[in-house]
Amino acid sequence: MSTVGIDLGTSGVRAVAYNDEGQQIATAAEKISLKRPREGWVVLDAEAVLRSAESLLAAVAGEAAGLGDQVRAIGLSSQGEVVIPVDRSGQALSLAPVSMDARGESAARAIGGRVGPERVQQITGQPLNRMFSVYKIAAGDAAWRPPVAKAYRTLSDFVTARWGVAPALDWTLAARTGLFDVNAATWSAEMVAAAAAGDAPWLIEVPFSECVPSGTPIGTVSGKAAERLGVPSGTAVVAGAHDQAASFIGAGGRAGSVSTFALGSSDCLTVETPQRAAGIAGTGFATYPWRPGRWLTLAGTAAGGWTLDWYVALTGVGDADALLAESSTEPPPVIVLPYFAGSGTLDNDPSGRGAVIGLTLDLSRAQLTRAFLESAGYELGSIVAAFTANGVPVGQIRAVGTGASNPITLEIRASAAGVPLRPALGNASARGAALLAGVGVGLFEIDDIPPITVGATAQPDPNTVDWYTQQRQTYRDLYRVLRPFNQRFEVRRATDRGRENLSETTKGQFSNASPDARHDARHDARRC
Amino acid sequence: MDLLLGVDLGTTACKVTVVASDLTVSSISSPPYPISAPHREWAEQDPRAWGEAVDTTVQRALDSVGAGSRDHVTLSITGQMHSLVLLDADGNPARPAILWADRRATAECSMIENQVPDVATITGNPPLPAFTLPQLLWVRHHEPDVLSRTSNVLLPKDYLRWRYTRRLATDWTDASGTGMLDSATREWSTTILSALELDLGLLPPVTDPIADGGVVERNASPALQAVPTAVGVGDQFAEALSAGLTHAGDMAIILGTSAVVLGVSDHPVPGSFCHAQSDLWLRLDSLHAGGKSLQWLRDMLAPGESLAAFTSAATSAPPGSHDLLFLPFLMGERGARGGGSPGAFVGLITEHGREDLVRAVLEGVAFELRRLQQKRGTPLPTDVLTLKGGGAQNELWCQIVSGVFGIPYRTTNRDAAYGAAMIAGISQRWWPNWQCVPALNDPINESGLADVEILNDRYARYCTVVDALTPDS
Repeated sequence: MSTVGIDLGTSGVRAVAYNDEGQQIATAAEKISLKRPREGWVVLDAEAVLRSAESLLAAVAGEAAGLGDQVRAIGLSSQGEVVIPVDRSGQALSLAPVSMDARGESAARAIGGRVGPERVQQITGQPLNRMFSVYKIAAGDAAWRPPVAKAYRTLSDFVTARWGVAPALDWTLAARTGLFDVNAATWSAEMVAAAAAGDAPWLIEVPFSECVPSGTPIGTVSGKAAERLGVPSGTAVVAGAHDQAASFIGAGGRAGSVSTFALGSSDCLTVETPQRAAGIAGTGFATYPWRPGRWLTLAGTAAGGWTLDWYVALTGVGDADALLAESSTEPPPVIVLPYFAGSGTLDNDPSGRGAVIGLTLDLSRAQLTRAFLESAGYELGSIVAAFTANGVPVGQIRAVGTGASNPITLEIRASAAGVPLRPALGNASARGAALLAGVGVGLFEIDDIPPITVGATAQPDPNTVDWYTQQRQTYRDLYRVLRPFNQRFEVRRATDRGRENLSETTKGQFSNASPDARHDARHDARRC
Repeated sequence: MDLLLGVDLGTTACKVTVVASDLTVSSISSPPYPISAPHREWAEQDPRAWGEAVDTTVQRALDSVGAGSRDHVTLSITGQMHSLVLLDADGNPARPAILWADRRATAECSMIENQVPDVATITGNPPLPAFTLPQLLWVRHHEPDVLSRTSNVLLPKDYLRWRYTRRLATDWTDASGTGMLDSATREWSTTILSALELDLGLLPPVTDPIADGGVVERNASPALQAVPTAVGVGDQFAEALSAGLTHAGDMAIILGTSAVVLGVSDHPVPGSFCHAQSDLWLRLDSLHAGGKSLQWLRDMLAPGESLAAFTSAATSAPPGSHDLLFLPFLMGERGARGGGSPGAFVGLITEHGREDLVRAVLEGVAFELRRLQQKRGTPLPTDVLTLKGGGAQNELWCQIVSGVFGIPYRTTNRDAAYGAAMIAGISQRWWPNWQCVPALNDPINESGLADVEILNDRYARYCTVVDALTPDS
């Protein structure tokens, strides 16, 4: 028997089958394309994601069956914040805005103004930020409103509902809509009312799916879908998790002893606590329960990995690994602020912008490359310090995602962060989803899931400890210095967007490089 | 045949321009001569190598126009400023010349400021390692035997002219770059020399640039024998003359590997040197990494690509480079205390492409040039900005500079060697005064003014960021 985890990422979809011992036996992946139909909008085609998920599932199910391991259960790991309006049959009515889509900015401001940012975070566990689904719904046109829209789905329940399963999603993905009461583990009437009061009255009429803990069976694949998917009729579908949570589970995360640092499209540290972590109000740290008595807190940089991809694309070097491998062995004096799509969650500042500071004529590309890698470490170091200051033990940090597989770059990040990083090998998020599926059908106990294979720990270089301690402080100082400047730009951009909307003109994207070209290198999309 | 011969002794090569009486111009450059860097931040050259390069190139230039011993030639030499040449009693270089690009004399700058607190008021500029005086003090401190053998302290162009005419002299433009000239009186400052216990007898007399520099009698080909010379000017002043900067308020920008603003004032202002004309002063504000910033970005992102092709990407980015700013301090912020602002790109987002980065560099250099002028508090011209140098071949860059300053522009390919030839002409009364040399007739271009509003906005932001990133600002 086998379980399959499907990871619905920002730049790709991956299906991985595991046997009863938790060992990977089949995998298949496809890229997906993001589109930028207008400035500030970033969308994906949910129907295309569904087609990818189905074909990849069929491929790995067939391979598993060939090995004598019929698929018994399926779990999904998904990028958060994506929201899709659907019709009565669950068909998508619109292209789906992804996390970095900025259309929810004014709605976030308005709803935040009514509820108060602190209260928003208290209820939802998520900071007030335009990335969350509710603010995008509030900015929606007719396709997002009744009578056309019949329900809102996240990417995960959008897919599973099409397999004949009653619409249901797990708490972690529900939390990423910005409408979930993480304390009561139910949809927040207060948040719905606040959104409906001004920007989106239709939110009262259009429902989301039922919410359940991760690892809860939510139904079985219908006969017709089973035929299409190449799995036995009656195959169990189990509630998976938000991709960061799934990575944490898949990589063997444990409260107090093991946390995960995902190096994907975004960089994200995920830490577990038995209760909701205290002391993070006012930061952009997000928190949610994935099971009763199991809370995860996330912190990172929205575009950490994308920033690195951007740099690789800019150099025109086709082979990203080759470019990264040539990073200088000595720390350079230059510092990169990786806030190319808003600040890190530590500061929760959507107006944050990237910078490369300390450029000199004798700076080499190898040094600049290292500076881009170091930036992820600086942010991680700052986040670990914030957790520690709030009495939340982080423990050992396991690195997951595509960025974790290169020992050279991992060591650079570990040195810059001042913390050891141990790579967890394999597809942690798909593995987490598959293990949750196994938990749902009784293959595993939640506290006794098969361990993941880990690599050699990347230790901070003892010779650079003092240097990097100072650089981390400089990194924080530079952000604070540039913050007011970035915020002034943000105001002007919002004004410009307003003008564009009024005039109905659509400006072309201001880069000739497509998001696909820039981001296809990465499959493990992670949002914090 | 009457000919004006202008020689420009550059840092890497010399250029000779011949101007005939019908104002036809022909020029020839020498092969590059080496810069020696025996230690980090040192930059030296052998003055004898300059002489050989100039001899050969002058001969080629004269040959190219068919000049012979019966033609009436007048010579004027210009050249790199500040660099220190020491001659012994036999007229041989006592050591290699220390160039303006040398950075060794930092401690000596501090010493000068301590011992002559009002040095900047006297000379117009604070002491910098590039200047002759700190270099001379460095030699006194580290190579006392060399100074004890030294009979004359000269500047490069004056050494070359002395080599031909054996007449010791310098002009007030070049002298004002030594850090020893009283900018108001145009004489060596006895205050400075006394405070630092330096012998005035080491220095040549200071004269008007068009004064008689002597007649060529040595080291020269037949066509140059007995040719009269003018004392001449430092290279930036020859550039200024070639750009027509002869009235207070005139301004030109040289977009080379560094970017230099030349601005004329009718009184001594901070950062100014003595203009060739006795009643004017020339501000000289330079940004070390001008075109070099572009080369650096090209080397970082597209090594091997031609600079022109790489730069052309910028035409597809809008004014303001999608809110991206470049701080062009790749070689430090000139004159800034405490290190100044760092070189940086600020405001990056994933949507930025190479075109935005390239345009941001072009804009960043222009912003910094304007900021330098604003810091001086000097008025800008209203009629035209003259753009020169290799960067002036790039129309977009010219439009950006014009837009940032809000002034129409014109370009000229006239250079320091041409300016030197003009000085030779004034000295021979081809023209009665500085204002009467042939005017620039290049067309005035207003195409950059369409972007003034947005560039003004970005300029204000640029200044905010530079201030924010400057330590202790």
